[in-house]
Amino acid sequence: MKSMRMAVLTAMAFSAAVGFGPAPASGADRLSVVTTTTDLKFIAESVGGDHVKVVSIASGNEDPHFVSAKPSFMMTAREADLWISIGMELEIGWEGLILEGSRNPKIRKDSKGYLDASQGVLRLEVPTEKVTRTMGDVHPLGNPHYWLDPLNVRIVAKTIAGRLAELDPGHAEDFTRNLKAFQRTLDDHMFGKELVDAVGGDKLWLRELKGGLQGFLDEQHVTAKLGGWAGRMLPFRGEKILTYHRSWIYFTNRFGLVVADEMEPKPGIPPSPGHVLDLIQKVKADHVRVLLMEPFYERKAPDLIAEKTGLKVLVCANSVGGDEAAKDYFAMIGNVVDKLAAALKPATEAERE
Amino acid sequence: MKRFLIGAVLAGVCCWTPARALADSAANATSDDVAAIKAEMAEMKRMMEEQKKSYQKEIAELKQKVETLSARSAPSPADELAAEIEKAKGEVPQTQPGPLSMFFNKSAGQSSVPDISVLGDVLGHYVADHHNAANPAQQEDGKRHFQFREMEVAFSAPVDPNSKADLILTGGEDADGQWNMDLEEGYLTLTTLPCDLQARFGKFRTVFGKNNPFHTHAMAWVDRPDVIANYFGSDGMAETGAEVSWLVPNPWKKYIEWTADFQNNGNPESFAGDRQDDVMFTNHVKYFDNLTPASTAELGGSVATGANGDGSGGRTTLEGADFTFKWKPPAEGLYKTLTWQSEAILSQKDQPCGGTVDSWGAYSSLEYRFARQWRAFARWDYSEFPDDAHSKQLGGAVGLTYDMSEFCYWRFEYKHTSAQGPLAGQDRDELWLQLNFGIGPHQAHKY
Repeated sequence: MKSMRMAVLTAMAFSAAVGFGPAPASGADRLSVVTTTTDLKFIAESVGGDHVKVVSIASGNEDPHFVSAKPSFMMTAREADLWISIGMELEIGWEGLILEGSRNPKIRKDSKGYLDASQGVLRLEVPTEKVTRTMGDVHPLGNPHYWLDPLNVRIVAKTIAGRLAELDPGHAEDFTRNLKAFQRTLDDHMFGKELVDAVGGDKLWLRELKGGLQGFLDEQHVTAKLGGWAGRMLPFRGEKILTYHRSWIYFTNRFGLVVADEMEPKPGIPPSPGHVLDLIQKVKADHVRVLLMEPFYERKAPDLIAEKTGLKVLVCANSVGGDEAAKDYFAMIGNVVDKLAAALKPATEAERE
Repeated sequence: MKRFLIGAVLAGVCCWTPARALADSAANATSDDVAAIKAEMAEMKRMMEEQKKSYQKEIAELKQKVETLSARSAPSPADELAAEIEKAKGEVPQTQPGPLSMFFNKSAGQSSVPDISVLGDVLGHYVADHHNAANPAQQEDGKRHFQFREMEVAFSAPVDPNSKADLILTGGEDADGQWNMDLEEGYLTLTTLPCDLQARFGKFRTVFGKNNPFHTHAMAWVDRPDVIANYFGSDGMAETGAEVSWLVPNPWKKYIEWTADFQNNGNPESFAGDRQDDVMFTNHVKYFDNLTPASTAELGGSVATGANGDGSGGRTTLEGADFTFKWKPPAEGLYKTLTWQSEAILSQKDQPCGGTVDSWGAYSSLEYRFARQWRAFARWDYSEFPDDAHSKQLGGAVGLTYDMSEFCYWRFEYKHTSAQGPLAGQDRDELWLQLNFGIGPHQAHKY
């Protein structure tokens, strides 16, 4: 009976607290948006403008695969109107726990308040055979690091703007206007303002997507106007580089670089001594000059390869806020482009001589 | 003949007269008429020119309209780009799921098939129980064996938009090498209750303290701390019943969770065991906060009470307190983490012969990840027994874990336990080698 008394008392306490406890605060004026990564946060803020309040779960300087599902994140998600994830199972280890723990029906996976940002992007490395763990941490839906391709970010911005307009139709025109401005800024960074003024961002991306941008620019006699990231990376097309994790493929694909190999023998598997020795041979044989890696990976093995081969190790954030240079998405990509161009340029000039 | 001649003359006269008149008239009007005709022709020409101009203007306008309409129907660069993106998306190869991927691959899309995962836990165990000379039958000196301690088969899936089900079957070898299967947990969770409530119905691990809710494979050590093993059993406490948990709203927006469990009192260590005839009731409050971006603290308090089945209406009441500190610097989190976890349990258990045994136990553990694949731990144990506060165990354990991958680890543990009181002299030294592996999409455990 004592248990029963305690149960009744607890039930009464629950009822009282539920009935009279302070109601959760809600942002009546602005949509509360929670994104899984800082890159999505930047895009959502750019498109949503003053009508959204955005919080990111992962910080830019941590590996987004291994974020801890802290209870405080559940509190963050509890009041969200919209949850935006990278998708393609990048957050498979922690997203479900936070969503369930938040007890927020608005952001359940089958609701309007849940947005998988990968739904419109161009995917790479989608496996065509059965995925097993012998392959390492291969994602069955394709490589999820798609935000490192500026074209995909352009697409994601449009996807987010569409969802924001659905949730807040009264500000749909603002979201559309913000989207245009964001895409224009992105295009300016990608191709250079002068070229975008002359040709238009949509046309440039269309030609880029069809693979005929260079020919199109020559035909239009505007090649000299090509600037931005594309202009800076143009001399290095075909250059082989190493990466630590298989996370830069979207970037290298867009800018014409070739990933000769990765530090990880398989995705998610730390480099073994044998693999490091193999890489040293490969770097020498293929004249690889640069290793690109994120700040959250250990430098011991990359530095050893650098010492043995003369290769340059470039540590660059692959998410907004990942290092001091990556203040926003444009600065983050710009930083990678700058570092690569600086590291590759001297040898290119020497070769020309 | 005469008539013929007259007719011919008349006809000649008739024909001659108008021709003559016309010739005369033409001769008189030539200059004026030509001028008039010329004027008429000029007028006609002007009119034709005007008409021509008018037609040309209309044609130009129509042409303009046609061009405008043509331009309107042509896709804009933005539309062309969108169409090209859709085309490119269609060219991406689709994943070809393997024959078993419906069971082991969440992405296969078979929504009606639950996630199924299997975990294996194999031990090599060596016990040096060389001080138990007083009771040779129980002496385990030099005992060594391998044991498939646990095979866990877990099924998990939404039942409907408002609930999800989890079933966890556990099999393992007992001390005699016999294989037993049991339902470790099996419950339905209502996920869409109002007011930040959630509820579970079925068999589940009692939410008491920090360690008990965790499965064996999710612990930082091979064995459960002595206090958990002595008061809840070596596998912890899991019973059938109902649970309600609530995220407590608060002005500071901190994580405060209140959980109430109402379960059978079938736990043999602290409650009724086989004589289960009533329910036990557990309350747990958890508070969590971020101390810094890299560190967190969690405080918990628990109370459980229920009849202990001694036949005389005796009860057991347990109070618990737990504290967990975690440090994981975001940028170095793959290589460096620290977890300090401590827990204490106090027990008041009524005895059949009258009186109440007041006893307690506690543990404190430190685990440090010093490399991506390596973790080390040390744990201090102290425990009495629910029915015997005079017997005490004082122990210490150290160990090393090698994470071969996210889904497989090897662990070595050494533990020394010294007994005091009536058990004095029954010291034990134990060595374990543990292999734990998992296949399938077993969900991550709570923080």
